[in-house]
Amino acid sequence: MPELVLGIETSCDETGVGLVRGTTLFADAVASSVAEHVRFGGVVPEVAARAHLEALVPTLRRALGEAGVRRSDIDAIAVTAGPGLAGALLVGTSAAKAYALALDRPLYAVNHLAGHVAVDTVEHGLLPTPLVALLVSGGHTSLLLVDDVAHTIRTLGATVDDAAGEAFDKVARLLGLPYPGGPVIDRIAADGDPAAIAFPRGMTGPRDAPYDFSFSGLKTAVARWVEACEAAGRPVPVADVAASFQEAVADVLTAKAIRACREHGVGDLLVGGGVAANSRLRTLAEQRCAAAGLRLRVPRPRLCTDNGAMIAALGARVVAAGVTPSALDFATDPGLPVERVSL
Amino acid sequence: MLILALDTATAGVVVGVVEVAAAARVLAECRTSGVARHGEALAPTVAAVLAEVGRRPADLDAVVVGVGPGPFTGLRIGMISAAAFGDAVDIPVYGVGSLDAVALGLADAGGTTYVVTDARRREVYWARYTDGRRVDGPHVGPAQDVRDALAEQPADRVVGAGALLYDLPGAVAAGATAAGLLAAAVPKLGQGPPEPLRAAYLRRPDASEPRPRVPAVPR
Ligand SMILES: [Zn+2]
Repeated sequence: MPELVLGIETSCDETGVGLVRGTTLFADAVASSVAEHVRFGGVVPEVAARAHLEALVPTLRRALGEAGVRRSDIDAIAVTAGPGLAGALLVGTSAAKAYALALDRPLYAVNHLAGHVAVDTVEHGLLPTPLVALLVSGGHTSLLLVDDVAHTIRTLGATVDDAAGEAFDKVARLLGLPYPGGPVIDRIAADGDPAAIAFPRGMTGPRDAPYDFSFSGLKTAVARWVEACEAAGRPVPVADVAASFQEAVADVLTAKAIRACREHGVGDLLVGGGVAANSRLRTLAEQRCAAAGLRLRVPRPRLCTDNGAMIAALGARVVAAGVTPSALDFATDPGLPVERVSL
Repeated sequence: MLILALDTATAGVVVGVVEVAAAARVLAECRTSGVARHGEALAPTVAAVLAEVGRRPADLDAVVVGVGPGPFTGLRIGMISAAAFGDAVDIPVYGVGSLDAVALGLADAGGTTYVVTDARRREVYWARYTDGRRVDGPHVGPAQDVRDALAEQPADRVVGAGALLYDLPGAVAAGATAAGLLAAAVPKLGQGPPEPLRAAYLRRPDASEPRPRVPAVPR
């Protein structure tokens, strides 16, 4: 029987603890501090770190209760070592080290981005190889070529400025909508016309890096458009702006992901990260994958956002691959490149 | 009773194993100073101190941890480690004031003692003790606050890295010790389940609310 792996995730504002055996999810407990960040319009690192300290042990207890297992049933522990917020990562890794030491279990320091890929194993089974992964959230926008999620991942491209999720937050703010922007824009866009306004598609020129992204120009274009509208004394058509902005984001993300699959001869695309919950991104990815003859994997929204299950799922892959456990003195790395799946 | 004592509220880490029978006896202790990378140093130090006394985590009866005040990131590393360790082996975790653990770790704590540690940003954490009992603080503020307090309540001793850093009169080095942590916890030990750990941050998080934008959506 495969090992029961405990996964601990504290890279941003979600305290996540998951339990996975092989590709079976046993528990996925999350405590979010998102409500505490709302009035600041974005994640405040110190607020997030304080929340992790308070929430971690209770969340772990909840995960054990959900799975109906005891601490002694845990065979291995995996924890996010980066990328993420420095102070937040230190809470999770310190806890993981203490559990590993106290329970005398091997510890695996792993990469958060690889976790977003590996989590799909608990929903759709083992990953095909190779695989192209598009990871989009408030913190990351990456296009990855995954040869083996436990070992070999290569970055094809990433955002050169804002993360896709950040663009949703900023545009929501422009439109007077609450933080976080993703869900509310998705909802309001449903009543708008995605073709109403032709917002720019960043980094899509012939001389631009084919797999990199830029959302800063799009955000500025939306701001200018809204300001011009207000200056002219016209009411802002919020639903049309939201729908047209969302269309621009989904269009660029899916076009580049499909191109990456085609140019690397890869038949499978995975979309993960919090923005993968966006309905337009999902629909467009489905349509374009079908048209290009690609298989699409998108974990359910709950597994796309940050959680402990993704780290447990990655831990299960890393353990199965026979990777050497991490030493107790490993250092967190807020900028950990995805090429380093484990430390 | 075998107790693991931890503190990461200063630039160093303090880890000790203390046996409490009729009297407390420190079986092993490791204290680092300087700018320690707490997150990397703490767990291996706990492992080494336990190995030194030939005991396993399951042999422990309680954990005592300093809850600050201290620089936040380092402080949290000790606190979450203690909380996780205690949860893993199902033993109580007692939080004690990190400045108290300095005062109570002194060989002689009679009379008036000021404990002053570095709070960064040109400030100190400080508290005043009479015969080892905290009577003022903990506070965070400029070293001048301590000078003002000293003018009103002269000290028998002024200790801690903050006192040395700002050259307070009569300043001597001293830090938290396993014995000090234990002494601060003694009134709580065996008094039922411990209170939940609460960090003594003394400062609010740095964060400003964005200026409200005139919403585009008519409300
Ligand atoms: Zn993430």
